[in-house]
Amino acid sequence: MVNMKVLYIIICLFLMAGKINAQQYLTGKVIAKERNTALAGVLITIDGVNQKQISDANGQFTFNVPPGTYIVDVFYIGFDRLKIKVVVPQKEKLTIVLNPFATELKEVSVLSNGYQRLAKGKATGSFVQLDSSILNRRVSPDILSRLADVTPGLIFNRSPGSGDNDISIRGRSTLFANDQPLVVLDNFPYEGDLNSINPNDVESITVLKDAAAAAIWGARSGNGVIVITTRSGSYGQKARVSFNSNFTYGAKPDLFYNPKMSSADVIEMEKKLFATGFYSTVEQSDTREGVSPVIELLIAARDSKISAQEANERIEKLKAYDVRNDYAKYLYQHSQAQQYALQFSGGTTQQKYLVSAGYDKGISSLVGNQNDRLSLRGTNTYSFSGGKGELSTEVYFIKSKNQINNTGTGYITTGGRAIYPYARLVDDNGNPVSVTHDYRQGFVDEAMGKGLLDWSYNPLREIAVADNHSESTDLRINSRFKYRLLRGLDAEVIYQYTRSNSMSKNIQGLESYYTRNLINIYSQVNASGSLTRAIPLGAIQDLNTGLSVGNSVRSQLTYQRQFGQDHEVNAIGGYEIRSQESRINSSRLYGFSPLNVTNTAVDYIGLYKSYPSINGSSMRIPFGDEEDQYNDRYISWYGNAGYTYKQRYTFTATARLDRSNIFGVRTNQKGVPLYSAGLSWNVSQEGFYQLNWLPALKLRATFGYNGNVDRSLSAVTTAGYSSGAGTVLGIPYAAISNPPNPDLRWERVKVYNLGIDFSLKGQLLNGSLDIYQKNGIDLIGSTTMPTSSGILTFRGNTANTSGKGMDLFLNSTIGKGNLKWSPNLIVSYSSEKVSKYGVKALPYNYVVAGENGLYPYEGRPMASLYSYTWAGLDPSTGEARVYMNGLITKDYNKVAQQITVADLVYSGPARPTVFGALRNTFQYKNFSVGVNISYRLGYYFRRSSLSSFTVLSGGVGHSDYTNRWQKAGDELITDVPVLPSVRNVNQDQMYLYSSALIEKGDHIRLQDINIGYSISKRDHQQLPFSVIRFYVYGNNLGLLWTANKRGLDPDYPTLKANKTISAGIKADF
Amino acid sequence: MKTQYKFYLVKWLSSSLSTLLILSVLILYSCQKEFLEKKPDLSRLVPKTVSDFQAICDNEMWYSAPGVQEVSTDDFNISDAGLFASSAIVQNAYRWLPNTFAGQPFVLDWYETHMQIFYANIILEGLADITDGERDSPVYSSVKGTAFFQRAFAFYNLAQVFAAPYNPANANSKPGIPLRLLSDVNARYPRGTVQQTYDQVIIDLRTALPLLPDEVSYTSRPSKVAVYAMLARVYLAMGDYVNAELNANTALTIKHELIDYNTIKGNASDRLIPPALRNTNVEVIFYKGAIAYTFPGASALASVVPSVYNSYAADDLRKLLFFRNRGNGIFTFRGTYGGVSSAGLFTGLATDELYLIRAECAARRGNLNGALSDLNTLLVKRYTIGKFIPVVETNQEIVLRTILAERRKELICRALRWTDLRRLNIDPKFAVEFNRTVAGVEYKLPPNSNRYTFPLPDDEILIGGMEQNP
Repeated sequence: MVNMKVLYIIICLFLMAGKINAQQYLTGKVIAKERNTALAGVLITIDGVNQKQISDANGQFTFNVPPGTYIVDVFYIGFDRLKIKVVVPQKEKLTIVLNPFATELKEVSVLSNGYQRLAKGKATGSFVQLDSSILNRRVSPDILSRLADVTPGLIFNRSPGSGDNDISIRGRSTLFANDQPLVVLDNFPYEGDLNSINPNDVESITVLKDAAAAAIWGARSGNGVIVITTRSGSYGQKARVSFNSNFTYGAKPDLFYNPKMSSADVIEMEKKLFATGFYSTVEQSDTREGVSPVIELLIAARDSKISAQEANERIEKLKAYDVRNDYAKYLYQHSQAQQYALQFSGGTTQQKYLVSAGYDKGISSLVGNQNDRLSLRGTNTYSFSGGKGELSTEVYFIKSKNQINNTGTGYITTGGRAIYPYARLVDDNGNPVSVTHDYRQGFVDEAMGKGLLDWSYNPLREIAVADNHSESTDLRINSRFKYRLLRGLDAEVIYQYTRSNSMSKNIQGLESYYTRNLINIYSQVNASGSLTRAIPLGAIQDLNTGLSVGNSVRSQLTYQRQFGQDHEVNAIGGYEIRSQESRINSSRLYGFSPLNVTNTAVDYIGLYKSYPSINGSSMRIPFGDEEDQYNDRYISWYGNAGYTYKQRYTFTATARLDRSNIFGVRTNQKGVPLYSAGLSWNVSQEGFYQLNWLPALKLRATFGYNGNVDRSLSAVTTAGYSSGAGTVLGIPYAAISNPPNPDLRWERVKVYNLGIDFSLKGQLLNGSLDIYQKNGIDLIGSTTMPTSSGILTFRGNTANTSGKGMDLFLNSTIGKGNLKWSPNLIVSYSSEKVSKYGVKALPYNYVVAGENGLYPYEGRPMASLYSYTWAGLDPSTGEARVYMNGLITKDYNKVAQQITVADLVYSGPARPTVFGALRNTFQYKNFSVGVNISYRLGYYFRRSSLSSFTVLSGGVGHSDYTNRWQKAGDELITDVPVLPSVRNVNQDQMYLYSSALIEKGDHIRLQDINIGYSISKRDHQQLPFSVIRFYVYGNNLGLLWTANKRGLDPDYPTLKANKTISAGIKADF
Repeated sequence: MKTQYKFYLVKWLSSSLSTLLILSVLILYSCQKEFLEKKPDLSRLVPKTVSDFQAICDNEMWYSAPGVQEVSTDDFNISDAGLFASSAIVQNAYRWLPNTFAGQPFVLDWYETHMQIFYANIILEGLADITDGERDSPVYSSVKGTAFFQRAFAFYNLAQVFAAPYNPANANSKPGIPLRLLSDVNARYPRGTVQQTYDQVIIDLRTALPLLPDEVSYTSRPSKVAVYAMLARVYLAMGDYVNAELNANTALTIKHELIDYNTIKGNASDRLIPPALRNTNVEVIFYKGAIAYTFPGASALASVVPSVYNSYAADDLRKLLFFRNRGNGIFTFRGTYGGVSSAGLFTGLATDELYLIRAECAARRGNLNGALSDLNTLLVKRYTIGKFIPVVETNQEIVLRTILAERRKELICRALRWTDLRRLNIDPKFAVEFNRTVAGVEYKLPPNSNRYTFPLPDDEILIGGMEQNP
């Protein structure tokens, strides 16, 4: 009954609102020209009546005025001021289009921090706004990579140890905790796979860099925040259709990019090693490990199975082959990618909607691998009670498929080592052939004679018979309800539900080597010579499924009001609760038949003799059933307030308290309060401001704290349980995960930022400059422990860092009329050092892993490059020499044991300290060319060279092999040491980690070129579309300059960045 | 029509809104504390209960024992090619070079054994916090006993490699093993003396004794008999033959089974010692496995010294079961007493060792009949049925030497030879010097050489600031 009453009241209110609406309201909407995005925070004054209002988040405003004719004054910073005549009652809702000062200025004036939309003019923090035109310059299936080289302060790390899409915003302010920025997709942190977001659905991205901008995200904001806002329809917009499609073609990977020893050199070395008896260990190994064909021939000749002459002839023939040619021909191909996106959007005065569909297909450069993605999205917003209330729902569905039938060259090995370089994947007739893999050929032949399965390994056939694919579906549902409680005061509740299912299935049939090998290993030969197979004949299926469900609720009050001419308040406060639960299951079926979906039980308990092992070591059948469950939970309170006085002075403050279940399994109830404050001064709005040449000038200053969390640590002793399935006893056991650490705290980053935004007269130049100081406090530091403590490293809040830097962004438009040139320059400087770090690691650690940032050293950047001080080669022996205690030494063991950090050379940071891009866009009529040149400066890298250990192990060494010292005098022209008589790891280290191999990393790269041609209805009335754009895009075009003399690309040491070329069409109807 | 449309819409709105609001209010006021108490990873826990600590005791990390000393003994040789294909540690240990670990970090012999001490201390401190009725359960005391026993074993194992041999003459002055008795990883402990190390081993073992059960389900868990057996081994290493015999005797009273090697059937290559961990090897009392180095188990080129191989009689089944013929007169070891070679060479406790300890101690105090009785009891199970001729001898020294020779043959590759060499060298009558030639260079290991004590790993000296061995 109560429900019915409420319903009745709501209906009445609703109908009343509808009635009043048509008569006495002056209502409209402000949008920015060209982008058609709503402008919030625009000051709208009705002349004569002295009524003022600020447009809301959707650019809307509503005045209550008597009928008549009015002049509406529309003012917004960065845009031309506009006065419009309006007759009330209105025939239709007013749409005001504002022209930006500079049409090429890439800063949208509404910023989103994921909680609120802020007028750029009233922001104090350091934000970077990337609109769709910038984001769509690049052609890619993912959104994140489009941030590269267009975002001041943001860099994609390519140093050793960093993975794909490894991003740093303003350097690094943590040592061992998560160092990646928080990604927010429409209000909430995005926990799914970033590659599944369709870039065509993205309207804009805001990067939050300093404390004032990011502190609203509290304990997860320490690495910066990337806020992705998706597209939505607009009120009062006619139905619109837009379509985008492109095709990308990629170069084949250059397999010869990594310089390697020639097959002939490797074969000569194998012969030498064989003569010394090096292979006798392998030859008699219990595991019958495979040896290369040359060694087999040499053994056969030694054992007089073939003549020495025949062996030699056959070996000589092998010298001509290089397996990389076969890889390039049969394992790799040109990559291809297709993208299609279709979008409908529109709206009435009370409703707006957007529906989009996208399909992406990619064919990998590895033959047999491909992926595709389907994304569907629908969003609908309904406005009621005369705009007082708003209800929106969004459904986002993504389905991705990935096929990985080609595992690459990494699995093509011989005896567990890299394959012999003269291997062939096909015979002279082009038929796929087997290569020596795990076992020696003689053993394989003998086993097959005893009735075991074919034990040969044929890399190309492996790809053909593989069936390994994964699938994932992501569903995201957002509902948002907003209601205006009082004038200026809105209440909103947002609820988000996410559900991700992932499944990967690898069916390795009886034809696959994996399955044949496993069945053979577990084959038991009975006394009578008959065979028993512990693993049944049939395929082996590995299935992994994952389910992740997220629930988030946010309740928020927004207060936005202007008092008189001079005072304006903009505040939010809210409460948020989030939970993310995930479950991962793995299972394995033996004797599986994909046709009938049947499988066979196996004995997981019994011990079986390994067939290849002569000593008959016993083992269990690999067991693959497991389940894991994880829960992340957060409760947060937050608030952000801004006060603007006379449109000139803005003061902002942010506070947030986060609590989570993250610190260990016992609840840490304390949480962490973080806050920030900021001030901005719109100097050019002052009465005294007289600089005509600089019509816009704004100063900003902020201070505050961001936070960071390390999920892996706990304040109390924790242990992890394991099923024990892989152990000899097979009983469950536990391992201690971390020692107790009662003092554990959350990490904090203290940030100061000073900024200036300016614009020269006539838009000749505009831009911004930010300088900042970032200090990491209570960072989780890793302490190398004496191993007698029972642990190797101890992690606690032991470290501080300090960083400073600058982001400069300059933009200009030169030329009028048909020809325009818009240069755009980004310069970022970021320098960081570890300011407090109690513990010193071994010199060895700094040298080997200092560049990965694993061993911080007080006073130096986290990722630093250290080396042994090179003293040249010994002129008489060609041995490597380094300095120790000021003396030249080649006592490698002594250096390994006794060298001190003072003896090491510190070359500098291993990550760029200055980076950015120069983007030039040329526009002639409808034709445009954009060229982006990126650069990275102020860092060092270590080039690779010859490891004598690899060579003396019969492996394929670096091509520096040919430059090695061979006779007296060579030391004048080479630093590559002589090959020692026996393998010595320490000697190798001495050279490979010496200062002789350090190079400057500075380089300039032609990142990409985008060429476009547009035809619009404006010029050709007969066209069915409003605008159509054809574009061609080339990416990773190559180095323009590099500081090192060898032409090495410091960012891509092992695999060259793949050149791609794309062509596409984008049409709007 | 329009009104109706609006009506349904509003109805839908209000219902979904109220659901939303109720949901958020519910979540808002539903106990926050409980919400945040959910474990982030369900398989991760704070060990609190006795069964948690039992699970920690069942971790395979306890199996580990030092193995580097086996490389330095006189039982095995390796060819130059085989040696140079081995790791730097093996190359150095084999030649008794002073810088065994050559600056390499994380020496497993040292680190993994200390990790066991750390684990034992975590368990002991965690158990002390248990206050409820669980304290009285038999599992509580057996887990506690296990921690003490394992800590003692770890201290003892470290002392065999990294501390000087026990010699009553200088045990109070030679540096021992740091005795970490608390889990605090940041605490620093001095090395103390050899005497203190052995004292602590015995204290821990005696503390464990009343706590441990008589019977265990797996040989990876210690029982009372394991304590007696361990005490016998420790006292023997100290040259305390009275206590060694006493404890060996008590242990053998409880458990005295021997495998008759004639019952191990199969072809030459799969006549394997039954696996220890699954209780099929009736001689095994407690399981440990040594950290694997190139030899004696893993390389086809690390061959048993010919004189040792030839010391096994033709009818001695051990000659067949322990070794594998690689041709060209090369015999490599295969018969680890753990039965599963992948788990490392067996260095745990077994009844055969106890018979030999009791025999040796008896011989040393002149009880030749008792000594030979034990020896013959053991050996008859090692020979082909009907081929063994019991040893009869009345000369004490000959009896002792016979027992020591049989000890070397029976306990080959159990990381005991090194401890025996260190112990026997103290008595000039039994001292041995041996040498080997590598790449034409001759290396010697004289009795009581400093090289019988391995250097501490270099990182321990640099970071831990610990005193290095001479």
